[in-house]
Amino acid sequence: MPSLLAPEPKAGPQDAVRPHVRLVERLTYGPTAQELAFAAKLGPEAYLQHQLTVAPEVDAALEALIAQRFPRTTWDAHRLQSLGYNNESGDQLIGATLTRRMRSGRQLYERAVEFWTDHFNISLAKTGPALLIQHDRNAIRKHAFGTFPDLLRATAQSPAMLAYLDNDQSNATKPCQNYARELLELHTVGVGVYSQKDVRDVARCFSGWTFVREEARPDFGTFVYDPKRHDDGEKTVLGTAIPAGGGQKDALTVLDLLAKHPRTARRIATKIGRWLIGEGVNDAAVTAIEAAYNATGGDIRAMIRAAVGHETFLTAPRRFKRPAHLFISILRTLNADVQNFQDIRYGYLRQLGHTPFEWPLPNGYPDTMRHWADQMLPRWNFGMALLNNGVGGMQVDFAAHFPPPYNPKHVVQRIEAVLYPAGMDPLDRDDLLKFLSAVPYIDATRSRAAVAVALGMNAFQWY
Amino acid sequence: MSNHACSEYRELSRRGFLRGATALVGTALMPAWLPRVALAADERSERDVIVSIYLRGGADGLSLCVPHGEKAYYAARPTLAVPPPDSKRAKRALDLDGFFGFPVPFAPLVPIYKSGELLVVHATGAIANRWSRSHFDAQRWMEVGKPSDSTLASGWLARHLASTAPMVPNAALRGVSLMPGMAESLRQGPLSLPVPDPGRFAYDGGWREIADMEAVLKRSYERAPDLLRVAAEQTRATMGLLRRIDLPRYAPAGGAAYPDTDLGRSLRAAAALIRSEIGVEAIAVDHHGWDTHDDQGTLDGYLGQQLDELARALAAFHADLAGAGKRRYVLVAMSEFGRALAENESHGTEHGTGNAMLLMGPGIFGGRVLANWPGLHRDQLFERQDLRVTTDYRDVLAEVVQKRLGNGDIGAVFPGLTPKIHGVTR
Repeated sequence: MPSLLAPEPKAGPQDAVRPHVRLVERLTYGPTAQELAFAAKLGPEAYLQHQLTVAPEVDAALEALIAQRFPRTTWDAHRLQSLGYNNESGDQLIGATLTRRMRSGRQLYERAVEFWTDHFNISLAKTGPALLIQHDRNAIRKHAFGTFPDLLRATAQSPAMLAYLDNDQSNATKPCQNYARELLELHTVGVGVYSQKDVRDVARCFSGWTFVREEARPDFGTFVYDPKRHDDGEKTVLGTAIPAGGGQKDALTVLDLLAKHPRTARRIATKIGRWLIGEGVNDAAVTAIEAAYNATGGDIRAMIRAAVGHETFLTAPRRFKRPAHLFISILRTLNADVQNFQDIRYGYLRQLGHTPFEWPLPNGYPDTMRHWADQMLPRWNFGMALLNNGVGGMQVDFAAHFPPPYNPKHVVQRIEAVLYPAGMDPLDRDDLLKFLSAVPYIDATRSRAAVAVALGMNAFQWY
Repeated sequence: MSNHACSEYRELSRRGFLRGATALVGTALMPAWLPRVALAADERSERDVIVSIYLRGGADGLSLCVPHGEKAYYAARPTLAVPPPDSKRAKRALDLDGFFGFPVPFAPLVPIYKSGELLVVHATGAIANRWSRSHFDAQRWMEVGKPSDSTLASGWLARHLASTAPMVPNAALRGVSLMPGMAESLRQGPLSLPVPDPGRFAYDGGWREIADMEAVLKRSYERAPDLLRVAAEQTRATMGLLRRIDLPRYAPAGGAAYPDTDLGRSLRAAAALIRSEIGVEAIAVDHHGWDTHDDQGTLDGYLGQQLDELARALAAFHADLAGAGKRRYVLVAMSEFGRALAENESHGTEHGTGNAMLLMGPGIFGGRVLANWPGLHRDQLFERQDLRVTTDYRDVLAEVVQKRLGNGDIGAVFPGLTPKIHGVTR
């Protein structure tokens, strides 16, 4: 619903984008001087290749830290469920997620994990952490760099998805249409391609797809096909006849059909184009990504290549950072020491409505600037609090990044090197210089204030 | 859209007030909620400010408003039922109309009920009960206001704001979500923000240099795309407005004593926002803790405390605004579903269906319990378990939106609804 006041968004600030800069800004959660130097050294093609193929072992130390700090993310659903209702499990899942975004050496992979988490959205509040932690591990993270058909199948069989969209209770007498509808409308072909009868028949195909729901059982939360709940009659889905007696295979047939459907390829290509290139992604770019889908059977990395390789990738306007991206980019750029993300989960991200796993609808967090542009205060306040040691569970080593002398020129030089390694807008630079020169003697506090402001300024909100 | 026939004086005073608000940041001015007789022109305004309280968890409607005239109620709730008014027990129902009564903790609401400004609508809820009894789905559908639409992200209050002009021209803030995030009912509302604490909508960090810092930020957003530039300006304007309200020093009128709880604080803030007349016209408030599966304790235990807190907060809010002479407000309280008729083995109740809604305000046709009462015998229950819904909650809200909020565009607020008027407003 358009706001009465908000006009159409114009293009964001643009600079003459150097390819390696654009790559680092788009493929990671925030450029650092080191990452830019690394990308410059490799060159754009090799850097992209690196982001697409770097082995998971590069994160061995990080994963050990995550297992130690957020151990519940390694537990199985039964063990998690036995804890009963608690906030801690969700805290750990969110903590692990944000830690990986901040610190992983596989930045593009983590961006893809977020992208697919949104596309196959599941709400923590409804589903509970036991199933969701399992889902994050076994469905999303396992296939985020795989193929779309594999990912689709993994989400369809995921108890978290079956619970979230009520398919676990679906049976032949009363086949539940929730999952069927979202599968068609949101996950694959999209509106305008299917009829209400298709929804009903897809629901019938999926009847019996459920999971072990008795908490006491050690296999709680594992997928189960219950033939007694299955409607085994004949069905027709998008014009394809599915004969009677197919059993569990009915749903697999549907998934295969949908994964191969041209509208699915187009929709996924469009979403990937919007994600990597921008809201205004043009038809030619989408077509190139779609061609990659069709040529490779939905290989996700091939689609990413096609998007990044398209000429408009370099020339597209900058994108507005969604809240979680902004906060992670602040923490990355300052190399903050983070013990927990509680103040972010229960404070800043809650305020802005972008806490991982907390979007209530199956369509996932919006990717439009219009949705995110209405609240500014928490964006400013995170930096303001962080630079005065006012955010619980995280600290910044100010002196390490911003050593003396604290004269205006040197502080602004350091701000540019650390926060805007790709270069600062000269007008912003001037304003910060003026801010620092407004008092006869500046100390560390005024310098911290300058850094806090630099994080809240318009230019830092884009990538 | 209604003809907002404001007096010219009031219009000019308000514009001047608002334009001055940002320029006068830091100047010592009288807080806006001190009575200003010249501006007490409420009676001439045609629109109420709405406060929407969401009782989270599925509040037990049969305890909020007790059907003491129903034998089946007592049969099904041997330990949880509120004794009838003529019982010898000390804690019993306070009779309202010979059939329904309030539980004892609701005693502070009885005078408001008797004065005609409190209405109970019973056996209400979602007619199209698609979501069975899941908190998550039921809350969301109710706040979105359109069942069965899984892509509609806006809330009913948001769509009301979007389909009407601001009550106060040039208002920087129209919708306020008094909780840590945006209430679903206000999601996507124009000029709407989560303001968990209106007394602290300010910059973090305690910076001595904050004025200079703000100046640098301001200049950087002047170079931003329009959407962002406007958002930045609105944020600063809102900060200035809320600073002027000076919530920590707000003095309730009418001897109102708000309970020192989240709900009490929220309603106190809501009253301050209303009395300050800065243009806020929709306020969303949450009251948590109504999911009473075990040891419900309707009169003496846990639920009794919930009922007591709600009653005292509502009574304080009512007294505050009445004492200040503010009559242009309406308050609605609702919950995602009621609770099952029968008590369970743990002396609690399971999720149900039909529920009670509370409406309060000078424009509400109160002093009665409005219900198309279906009865509580086994064959009258929904799914042999719950109080049936006979009045669509959207009808109730639609009438309030139309008659009290001056918005005739019900199709925008509740898409797909053909509303029925039940006469909840005067």
